[in-house]
Amino acid sequence: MKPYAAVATVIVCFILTLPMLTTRALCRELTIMTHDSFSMSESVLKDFKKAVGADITILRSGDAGQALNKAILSKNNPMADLFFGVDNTFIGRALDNDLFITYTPKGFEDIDTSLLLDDKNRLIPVDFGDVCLNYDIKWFKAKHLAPPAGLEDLIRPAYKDLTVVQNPATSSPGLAFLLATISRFGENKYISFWQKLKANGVMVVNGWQEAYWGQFTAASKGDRPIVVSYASSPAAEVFYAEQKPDTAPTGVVIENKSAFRQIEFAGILKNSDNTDLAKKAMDFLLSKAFQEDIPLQMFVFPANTKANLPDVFLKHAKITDAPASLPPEKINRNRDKWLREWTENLLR
Amino acid sequence: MENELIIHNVSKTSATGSYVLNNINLALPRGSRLSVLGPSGCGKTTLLRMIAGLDTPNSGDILFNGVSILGLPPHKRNFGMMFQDYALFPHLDVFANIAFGLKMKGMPRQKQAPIVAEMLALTNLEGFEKRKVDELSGGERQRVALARTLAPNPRLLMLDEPLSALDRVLRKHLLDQLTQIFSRLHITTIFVTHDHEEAFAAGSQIILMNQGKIVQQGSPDNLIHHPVNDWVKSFMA
Amino acid sequence: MAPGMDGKPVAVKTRIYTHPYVLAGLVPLVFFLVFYFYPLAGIFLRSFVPDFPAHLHIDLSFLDQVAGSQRLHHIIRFTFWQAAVSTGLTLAFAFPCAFVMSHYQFKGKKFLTLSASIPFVLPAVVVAAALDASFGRNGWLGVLNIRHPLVLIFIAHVFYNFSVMLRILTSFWAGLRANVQEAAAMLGAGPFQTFIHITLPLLMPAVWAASFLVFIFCFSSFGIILILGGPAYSTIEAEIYRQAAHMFNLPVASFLSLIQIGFTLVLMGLYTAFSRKAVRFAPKGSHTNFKQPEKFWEKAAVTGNAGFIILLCLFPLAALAGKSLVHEGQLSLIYYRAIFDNPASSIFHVPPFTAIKFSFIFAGTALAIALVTGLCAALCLNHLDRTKAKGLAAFFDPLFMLPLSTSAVTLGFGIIITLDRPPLNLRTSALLVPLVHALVGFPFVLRAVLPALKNIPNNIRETAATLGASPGKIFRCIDLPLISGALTAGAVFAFTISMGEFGATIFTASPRTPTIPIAIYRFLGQPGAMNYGQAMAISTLLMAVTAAGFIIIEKISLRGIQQF
Repeated sequence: MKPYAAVATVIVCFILTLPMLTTRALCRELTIMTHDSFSMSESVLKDFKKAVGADITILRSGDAGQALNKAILSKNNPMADLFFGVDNTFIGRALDNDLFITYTPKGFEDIDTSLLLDDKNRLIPVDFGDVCLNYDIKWFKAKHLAPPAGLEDLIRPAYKDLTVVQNPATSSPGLAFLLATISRFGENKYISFWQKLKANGVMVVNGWQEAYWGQFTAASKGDRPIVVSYASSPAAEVFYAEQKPDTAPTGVVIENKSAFRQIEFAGILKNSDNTDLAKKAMDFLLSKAFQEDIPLQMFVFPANTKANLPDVFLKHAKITDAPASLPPEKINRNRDKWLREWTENLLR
Repeated sequence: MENELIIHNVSKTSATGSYVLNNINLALPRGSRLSVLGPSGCGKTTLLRMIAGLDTPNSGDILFNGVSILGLPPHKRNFGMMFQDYALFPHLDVFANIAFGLKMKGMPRQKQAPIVAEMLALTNLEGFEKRKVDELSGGERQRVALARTLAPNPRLLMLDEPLSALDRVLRKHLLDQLTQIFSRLHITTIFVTHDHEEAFAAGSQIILMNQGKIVQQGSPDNLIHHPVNDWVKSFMA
Repeated sequence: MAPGMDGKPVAVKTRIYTHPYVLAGLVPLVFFLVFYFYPLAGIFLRSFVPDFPAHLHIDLSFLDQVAGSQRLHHIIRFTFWQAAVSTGLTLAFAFPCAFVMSHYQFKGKKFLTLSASIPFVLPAVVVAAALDASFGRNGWLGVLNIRHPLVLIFIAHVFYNFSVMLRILTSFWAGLRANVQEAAAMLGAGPFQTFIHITLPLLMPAVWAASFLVFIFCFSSFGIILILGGPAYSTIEAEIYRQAAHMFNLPVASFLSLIQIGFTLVLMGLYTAFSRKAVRFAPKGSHTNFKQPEKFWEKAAVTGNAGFIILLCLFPLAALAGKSLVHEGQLSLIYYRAIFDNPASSIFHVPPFTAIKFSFIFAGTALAIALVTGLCAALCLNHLDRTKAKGLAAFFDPLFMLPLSTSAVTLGFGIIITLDRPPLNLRTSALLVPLVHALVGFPFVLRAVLPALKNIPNNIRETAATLGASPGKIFRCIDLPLISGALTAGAVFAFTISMGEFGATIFTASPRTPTIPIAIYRFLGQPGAMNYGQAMAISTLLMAVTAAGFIIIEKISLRGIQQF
């Protein structure tokens, strides 16, 4: 066979398969724009389609920040009808750019009121998770060292070289943890805490994956038994273990305002052609069916107080009673400044 | 007359085991001019490469002035070889090409210049010093290659099909020039070709090779008038 | 398709600009204008003239931010420095290996070439995992105690770019006619002098060309810097990502993109100048005779070369595969079995065969687009170069190389704000992924095909024309067969780039069309030991699938892939 004939055949074959990639359902379609961590189960998606009465396309568009930026860039001609995944660190940017329309969905009254941050109901809380320190239970037992009880412990000599955190400029748990320290120590003093942390050998990596899979003793061959992760991570460790253990291999530090609550919001995008469908979809996002699916899909907690939690969550995931918090408008105003200060002090 | 180059029972087999050269014996007196004639693939280029040291025989010996040179790497033999496609250095100009052998001897540049000029004159290439080799015509390249080979004053001159890349008219003209140059220089010369007219013009002795063997050796007359077998007869026709 | 391929006889000698090959150049030009320059122009306009079209006020306030930032200055310096060091190291390692690969025939040579090429396609996160599996604390070579992020960055860059350098140098070196070196020996030059005075000067164009290419790759390195370098090290590309994706500081991101594009253009201009020179010295279709290693030092060189490639390329890959096969200290296939399960019955669970299928469809489509556009561009540039329009060729040549180092985030944001209306509403189309991949694969095809086309002596074409062959016939019967090897080489690169590409894929990722890197990312994104093991298992699958892809493409064209 002549080589170029073969190459031509291959080319023609692929060109013929192209239409397969672009065929679209003829019925109506609702598009949800969200971030990479979004997930739901197949059965719930089926119910979702039924509830909305249309096909559903989910457009995962990078991490939470990137997805929001894309929504802002495509504001005048949106790529989707509904956006899921603006968190309380980005809510200011989202509202400033006037992306969403007001809609109060069914089930609104069941939402934990402490989660509500937009009084015009353009963005509705759907889930929340607490970012906090996780530690390797086995490691601390073996060293006969008490696990940290709060943020202050991290700068004690006994905890030298034990902690790994994420760069707040590139990681959303990293940013949440920075905000936790700002909330805990105040805008003026947080940086001296970080300086002491640096002197005590804190390790900074760019993302959650590098920290958890690269450095955390409980999940990798690293040598850091303390990592910034979520309060629900121990539940995930149990759920995804080959043989389900009775107790989680990791513990969390959520007392003494050492955990920062990340709240995720959803809203209907302005200029959408399918506002009617999007409203139905918003209702569904707050329904028990979706809310009870959230924990095992995204390992965060449902915003609906009536939703039941799965066993593995009841047993192994913890909810913080008194999370650290900062007003969103303050975060929005100071984010760049704090990040700059942090970068100058920690990465120099 | 004393034999300068002696080739003694030299054989070479290919990877498949067949003979490329089969028991070659040859003796060349100083200042003689030998033409190696034969069809393509007969082993004549391999023989040349062996004398040059670019290839090694499986058995036999090659002696120069009575000393075996098999252990001597090519760059220490001080033989000159002109390649079939000239192998000019594309990144050097004509001057640097011709001076290359002198430079390798460690000769300072002031001393190189007169020799290069002499070589350019010998090959009718005056004024070509700064030319780039890829701007030269086929005939000019051939003459640069010859000048480059002659410049270091080699002990032995080998030419591998030096005219095959040229057209007929040019070939005739350059063959005349070559033979003139040979007669001016008293240097042992081995001229490899597949064309018997060239072989007769360039060499006083001819060896005719076929399938790795020397079929006949002698003067041009001898080959034309006393062919040892039918193959020689038909090749000469 | 190239005009002229229709086979209609073109009897009259056509003018330069209406020659079918020149018209073929319109294909890549339109492709570039629509999918590259238009989105970039869109995002730059949005960044620098924020109120367009209402007010034509150019907002340059960001310049203060840039000029005053020590950090940005440091990043720009570091970007150049690390690229230079990485390129130097890659050259230092690849050069001796290229010598061995271009001179000797030995058992397992094909296998070595193949394994050296695989790293090139792996996503940065997998490379990081592979390096961790070999050099990490408890890796197979943990005792070496290689921990410094800079050292890891350099190892990763050498790991990535070794095969590119090796290929270019090897093919060029193998093509250097041995008789030039023999002629030098006959003139009294020893092996060392021959190397210094003949071989090295003749190799220089290839050395420069390969070095520029590797420099550009390292210059725009992103994933490796982000993961291995940690927050302390940042390149321009990584900073663009940070500014655009996280800070949403579009003016600074765009400005940095412009700087990057400017530098790349200069480097590319130099690169094309050197590769033009390389072509002039290139051999004319010579068949290289590889030697069997016989002497002791030859055997030692071959063994050393094989050992090095195994250590550099194969070892981390094997360590990675090893990790996917070991569960709690025991050999086990549990991770491979687990990738088929979907414990949370998530709609985003990626069944491995689906991921492989879409990876192949995307890579195949990207390959097809890149081949067609790359071939058209090469035909056009070659024709312009041979006629009087040399300047035009010299202008477009570097321009076509730009996608190699354009920030994916900048281009991606550009696509969102420009390609947003029918008939080009591609923002959510599955076609966008192969299109963007083709944009990156295109320069590889062009770079592979152009030298091969230039090596075809014009008189062959003229001879064919006088024998009555139409331009179409000449293309089919003369050009195409003679460049098929080069086309294959370009195809291999285009294909593999698409297989491993992650940034643009995640950007447009529709859950219906997951690829293998998406699946890897998905598993790494969640806690739980099983997830990590599964990520390693899928990474191993990616390596296997890529190797299979190489072999298939090599089989399609029998001429091998030495010509890049």
